[in-house]
Amino acid sequence: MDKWDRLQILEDIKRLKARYFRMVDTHDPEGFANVFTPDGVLDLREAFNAPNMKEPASASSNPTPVRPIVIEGRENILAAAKKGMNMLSVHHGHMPEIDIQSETRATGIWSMEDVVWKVRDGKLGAKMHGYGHYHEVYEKLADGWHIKVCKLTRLYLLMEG
Amino acid sequence: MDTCDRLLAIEEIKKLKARYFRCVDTKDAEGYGNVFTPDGVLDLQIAYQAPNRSPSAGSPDNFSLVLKGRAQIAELSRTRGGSRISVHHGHMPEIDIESETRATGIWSMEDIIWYPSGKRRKGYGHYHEIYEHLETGWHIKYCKLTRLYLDPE
Repeated sequence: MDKWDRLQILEDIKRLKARYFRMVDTHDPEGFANVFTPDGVLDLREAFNAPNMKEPASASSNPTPVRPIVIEGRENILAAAKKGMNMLSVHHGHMPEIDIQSETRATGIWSMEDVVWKVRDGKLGAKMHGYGHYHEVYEKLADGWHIKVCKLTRLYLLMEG
Repeated sequence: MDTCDRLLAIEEIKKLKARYFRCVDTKDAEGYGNVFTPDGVLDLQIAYQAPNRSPSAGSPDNFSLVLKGRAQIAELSRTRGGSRISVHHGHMPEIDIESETRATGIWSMEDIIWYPSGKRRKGYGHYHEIYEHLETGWHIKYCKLTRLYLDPE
């Protein structure tokens, strides 16, 4: 790998994560699942708990249909995405720290912010606003770079309404 | 194009879009117009529609929603710019270099507008764009804004 190849990989992985966010927010479950490797893991165990909260969000206080679980494999990620994309959401990633370990493996940490509204009968309901980090492992397959492991940790979460 | 040229083109387009936002928010109408190709199009037809808003919600500023050419685009910046304060940020571009002179891109975006009335409007969405490389460098040939969310009226 020469330096240009390394820079190209950084750009490819930034694009991959941009697609991850856009597929969530524009409600494209297939596109979202295809961001991951077939054996990809989405670890949301810490996604609904933050240092500013007395206890993790419960099923009733969490305005999203997503639960704090580990989802393994593209098929299961697709199924969860199909069920979970009935909210209005905005996700942004910032300031990636990407390490390329080989031509087919890399790791990354992304700062993130999200705003999620529950939608009922076309009206916005409870809102969640959060900040945190994604901790990720990437793998290059025949069809390009994919996320192999994605774990979300939180700095702050505010539940409103 | 080799990898180096392609990566430089991507960086130049990121800088172009940064200038787009900075010219909007600092009310540099001429600079804003020059971000575009002379025949550039700014398509705001659905920029004021969001899943959380009524489909008939229109522009709060009462300007034409498809602007064609640098002069019209600069005029938009001139007429609406003075009366409000705005902050626009772009995030996470997905840029495809199609040739040495043509590229496409999608940008995630966020904006906040403070109107003279005191009203504040926050929004999120995506820009869908086509870029063209002229003698003066990369420019936006087509820019369309779609929304995920806009504060209600």
